[in-house]
Amino acid sequence: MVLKRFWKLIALAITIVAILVTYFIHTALVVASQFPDLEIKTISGDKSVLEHIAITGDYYQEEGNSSPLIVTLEGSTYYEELSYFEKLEPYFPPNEATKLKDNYRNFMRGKMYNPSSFFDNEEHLAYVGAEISDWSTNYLPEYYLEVDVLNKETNKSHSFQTDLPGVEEVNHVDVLKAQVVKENLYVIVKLNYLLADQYVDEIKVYTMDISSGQIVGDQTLFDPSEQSNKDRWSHLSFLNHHSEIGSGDNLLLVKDIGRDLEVNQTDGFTDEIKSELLERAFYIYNISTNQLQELQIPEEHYEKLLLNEFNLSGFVFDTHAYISYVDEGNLVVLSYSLENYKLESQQTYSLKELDMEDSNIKIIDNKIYAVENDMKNTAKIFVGDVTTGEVLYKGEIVSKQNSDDRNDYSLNFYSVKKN
Amino acid sequence: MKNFLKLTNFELNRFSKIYITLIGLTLVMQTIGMILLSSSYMSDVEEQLAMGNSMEWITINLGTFSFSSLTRTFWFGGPIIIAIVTLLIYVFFIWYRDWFGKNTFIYRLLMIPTARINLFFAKASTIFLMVLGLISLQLVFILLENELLKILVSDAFREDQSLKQIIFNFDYMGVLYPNSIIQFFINYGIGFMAVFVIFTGILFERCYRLKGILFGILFAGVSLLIFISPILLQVTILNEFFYPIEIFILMAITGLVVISGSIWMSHYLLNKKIRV
Repeated sequence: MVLKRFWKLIALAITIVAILVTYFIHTALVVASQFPDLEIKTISGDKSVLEHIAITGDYYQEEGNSSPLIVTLEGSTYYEELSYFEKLEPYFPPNEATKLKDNYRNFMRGKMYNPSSFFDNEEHLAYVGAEISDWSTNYLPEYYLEVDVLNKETNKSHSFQTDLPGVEEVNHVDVLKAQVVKENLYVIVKLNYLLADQYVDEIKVYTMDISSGQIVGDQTLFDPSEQSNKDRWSHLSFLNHHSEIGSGDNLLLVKDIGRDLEVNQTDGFTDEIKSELLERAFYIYNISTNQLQELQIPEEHYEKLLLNEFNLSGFVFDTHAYISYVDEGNLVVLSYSLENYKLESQQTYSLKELDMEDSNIKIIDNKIYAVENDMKNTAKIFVGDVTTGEVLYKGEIVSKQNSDDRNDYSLNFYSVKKN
Repeated sequence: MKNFLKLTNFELNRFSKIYITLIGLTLVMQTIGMILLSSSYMSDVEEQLAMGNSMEWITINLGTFSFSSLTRTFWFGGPIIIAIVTLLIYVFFIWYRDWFGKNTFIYRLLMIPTARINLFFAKASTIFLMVLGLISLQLVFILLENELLKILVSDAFREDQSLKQIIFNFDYMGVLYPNSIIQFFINYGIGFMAVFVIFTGILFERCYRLKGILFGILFAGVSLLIFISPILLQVTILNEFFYPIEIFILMAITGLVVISGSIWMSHYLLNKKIRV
């Protein structure tokens, strides 16, 4: 009786529920099978060197599906497979700054999760962000620094904003490092601006008095006018600031000077601009002592460092600074002592056997990690000990499923992190 | 409850002819579109084959035929737009037909010995069911039309697409068919909240006539402000204070506030202020 009376209502309701439930089960299954499960296969050595290590990158498929991903010893995690709520987290993969959010939820509100903007030690958690307040009439951004320092003992934070002294028409401001030393906050920023028709980098070290919120010191590390040469370009970069919240005092800097050459193509129509690196110098800047020390590079390495402009990595760890580059299938690491700034050891590892032409390099806890970055469906991993030169591990990231029928995708790994 | 079901069933019945027409129109137009487009493509292919061009040359120059070749045309999107517009109009018409139909039917509806808010719920449920019904049937139609495509176009010239790719390649289907079930509830929850608010606006007009239009618009404006207030705070005075999950929770709360406010206001209007 009831059925007969309400048949339209019941039929419509059943249709809706049945179809939509099937659709969402189908979608969940499609999403789950879309991405291959990856694992790390050992070629030689002990897997344990990869414990607490996360390799991050992107997955691309020919049909257009792509997703950022993380690979660890436990397997692979794809961003696209995360739940709706996990996807609400603004950063994937999480970095050191996003992890601070779990412990300092209130302090981390409204901050940009750029690890180099943070300083973390037992007493303080500090943040310095370069923010844009306005745009000037000639479309240049006007920057100010947003500063917030948390005293972990009292659990009180002190925040203030400050203009950048001595900075006028600037193209870009990047906070490279923040460091609390006693009552002062040291902030290192890189400015990029136009000087005599040439874009130059300027590195400034500001000293701030935390209690008053005033800038009490303003220093420029390299004279920008020296860089302003019509025929040359010049870049200053920090090699160890990107993904870590360092509490160490030492920063590794590289100063590159080069020129652009117009190369006539054989077809006679197009001119290609080729960049040539002419000089390359490495410096250690110590924040507490405010000293800039140049590192001496042996002749045989210097030539190769000039030839391998982009295959360069640098790290500061504990008592050493490391400069590393890849040349003709060899991974070279130069270790400098931070006590006397002298070259202490040099290690060369052959990557030829592993055929890792393009790799990303990272030094974590005296170990050097190289992960192949060649847009294939596998990626090789190499781990070496930088103090002894020993090869610790060789392995490969592969699909768990038999990948013969799944070679329509490529993996692009760009970073190795401590998890 | 039984009264509510009776009323819902009654409302469904009243619109069923137009509703079935909409379903039929969608299926027929999309099927005709598929037949016309694929046969015109296949005749182009045969022409090229007759001219002695290789199959490879044809797939490069004419392109392959896939479901997206249909979804981009009016044959596919047209009936969907017609259905959306019809249902949008019916959101208003579902109330006004009771006043402007022959012998003011609303008089009898209001005299039914049941809570008057059941009328409101029955009409809202009817709209929800019809929207969700069309949404789910369209999914079945896509699958049927995809099978039809496999019959009409030979393998060599066909690029098979999965349901997910078809949806992904068709812009506004991403909103109608989200990947995650939570996103589905968010999209349709917002839609149904809007239906509740519009219903309350209509009741304002039915109670106070011309002046009521103003009240209705005001009510809708206030509802919108309440609903998006977490975002307004976030971008203005609070400056990115909330974490995304907190914004989600806050908007779920403000959404519920708007829905309950709308139901409460409609309950009051139906019981105390309604004019026949």
